Amino acid sequence: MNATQLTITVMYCAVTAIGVVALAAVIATTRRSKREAGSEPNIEKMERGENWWAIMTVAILVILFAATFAGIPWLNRANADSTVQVRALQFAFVAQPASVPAGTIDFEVKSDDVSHGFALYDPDNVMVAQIQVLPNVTSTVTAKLDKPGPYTIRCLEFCGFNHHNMIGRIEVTQ
Amino acid sequence: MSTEARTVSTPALPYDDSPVLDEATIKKTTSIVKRYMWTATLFLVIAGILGVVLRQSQADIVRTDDNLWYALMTAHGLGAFVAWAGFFLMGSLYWILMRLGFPLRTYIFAEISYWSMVIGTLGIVWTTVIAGFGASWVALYPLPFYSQGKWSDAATGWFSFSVLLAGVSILTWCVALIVAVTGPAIQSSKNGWLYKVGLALGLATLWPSRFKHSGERKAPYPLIPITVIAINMFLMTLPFALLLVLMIIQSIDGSFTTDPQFAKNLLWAFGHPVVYLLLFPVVANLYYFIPRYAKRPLIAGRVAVLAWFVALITNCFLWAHHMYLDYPDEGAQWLLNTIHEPVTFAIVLASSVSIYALSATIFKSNFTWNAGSKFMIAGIFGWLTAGFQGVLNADIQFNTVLHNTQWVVGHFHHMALLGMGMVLMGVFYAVLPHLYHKPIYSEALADIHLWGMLIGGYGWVICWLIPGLEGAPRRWAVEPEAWDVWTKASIPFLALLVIAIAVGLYNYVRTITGSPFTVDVERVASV
Repeated sequence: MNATQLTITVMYCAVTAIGVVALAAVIATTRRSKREAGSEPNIEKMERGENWWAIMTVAILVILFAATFAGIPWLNRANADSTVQVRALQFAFVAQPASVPAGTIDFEVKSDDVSHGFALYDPDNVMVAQIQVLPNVTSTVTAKLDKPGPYTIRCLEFCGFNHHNMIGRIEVTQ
Repeated sequence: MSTEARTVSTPALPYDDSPVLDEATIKKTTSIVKRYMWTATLFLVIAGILGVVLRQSQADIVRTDDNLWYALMTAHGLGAFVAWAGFFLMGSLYWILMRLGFPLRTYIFAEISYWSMVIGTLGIVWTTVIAGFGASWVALYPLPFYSQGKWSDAATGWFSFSVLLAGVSILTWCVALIVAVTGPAIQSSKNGWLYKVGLALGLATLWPSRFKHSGERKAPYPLIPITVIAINMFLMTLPFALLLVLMIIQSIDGSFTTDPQFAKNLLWAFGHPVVYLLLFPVVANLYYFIPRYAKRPLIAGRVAVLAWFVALITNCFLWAHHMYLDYPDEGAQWLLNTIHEPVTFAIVLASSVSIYALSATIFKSNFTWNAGSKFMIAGIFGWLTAGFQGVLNADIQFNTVLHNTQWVVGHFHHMALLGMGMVLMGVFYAVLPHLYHKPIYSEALADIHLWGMLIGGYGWVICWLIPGLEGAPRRWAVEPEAWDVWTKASIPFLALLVIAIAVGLYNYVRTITGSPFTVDVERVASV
């Protein structure tokens, strides 16, 4: 996993655990023993709680938006050391040059026919970058390739009956 | 009609403010609702079988031909999402509206909606399974015209026409709902149509100086999501209908073409709101049933109404979150994508506030536990846990690693089956006694149905979510070896899920073929 994938995994597991436990706790209060043991629910207080709940929801979403804004790829593109031109067509990728030195690389991808997805995986099969490729326009994605070795390109937009065989390679050297 | 049958035709509910309706209205609405629900259930069986064929092929048990796999995927996606879940919930809202005292004022739209969905679905099955159209349900332009000889342009034209019929079904359903919610039951102090729509959206609570009811009864809460989805789907089906018409024209005249980026925007202008064709009716059902199980009114206030008003607006302007990774060097798609991130976040408010309202309503209540309520509670859990995934998907940075991976497949199966689908199955258990005046055949079988779906379903979606987090691609007939182990691991869970659903279907069928209520009618018939 890359750092973003790991962040998502940790965040999702933590938030889901909290949510499930909280909801289960609410459900548990419907048991007769719980109902009879505690005080009557304060309906007015719960109605007011709706306001705070909404404020909390908005606050969490604003924080998430702000925290990940820097990760928007088109707003924060690094300067590239070199450029690779990639032609995407049913059902192949043709990269030129097919070998580049390690560093920050711009991939300028263009499709000859339908929409494709350009996804780059490092030698350990970890996704490094991806971008959608519309026909007849150039789409550029920038990736930092530190690990030397063979990188795999996979099509991540369904493009026809042989989509799963649309795989390309580039070599990253020291 | 016997005295007993008349008694159970309007069984008392633990908490109910439903107005009394005449027998003819109940009979007619019930007849239509039955048709929608059972036809949708038949489509579930067909789409479900296709889904099993797809997954077992990926697991290399009996491998299908590659194009056939993609054709079946196309039929499965539309069949399961729209023809089963969407169609069932469309029918369920007629029943909810009737119970709220807002019965359909004319049945013609419901009939057109029913038949156009049925014919459209049959057309989709024919063009995919027989004619080989395998461009996926999104039919991402211009792929339908680049088949590499696997299907003809005529198949593309007929497929587009069939989907267009499903669109006509949604449009006429929206009209049926709008006509119902703006009827006399809304108790409006003014006659204007838009004014009544405002009342149906709950604006008398939000803006009392402007919107007033003529009577004491305010718009019931379930009416709000119903009105929102009716307006949303009417507006957002039109762009997709335009794209389908353009594709039909191109299938006849090959020289006619459309800009792919424009086409993709048209597609997703419908493609995301259609998700709410499931979610908002599910919320309407939960707003109706949960207070009745909890025996107290829904605990919600002005914020809930505001959240739904935000949802009404934002649902029309969030489609570009499906295009976050489309930012070609030329043009301003990147700008649209950037704007649509906070807008997408804003729609979360309706879900969040609804889950709060339902939880508060359940809290320390004398809750009725039966087949219907158990499935609905399980559905709320699924909605919550899949909803968090949706927030992550809506974040641009996170989307750069999640887009078009198996995570997305896990997410929508989680949301559609374990969230919305669970509620839907609970609704079926809840309304069958009302529709047929017969008790549920077996609560024990319903428990097997529930736990089989929970264990099988969650195991099944986890086998997509984990490889998806690792970058495993979606929509691959033959998956990369690196993630093959997850595909194979999903098969026992899928088998359990299928068995559980089969048990549920058996329970539903035995319910309607069983004996009418004989004892303690009100207890058994109560939701």
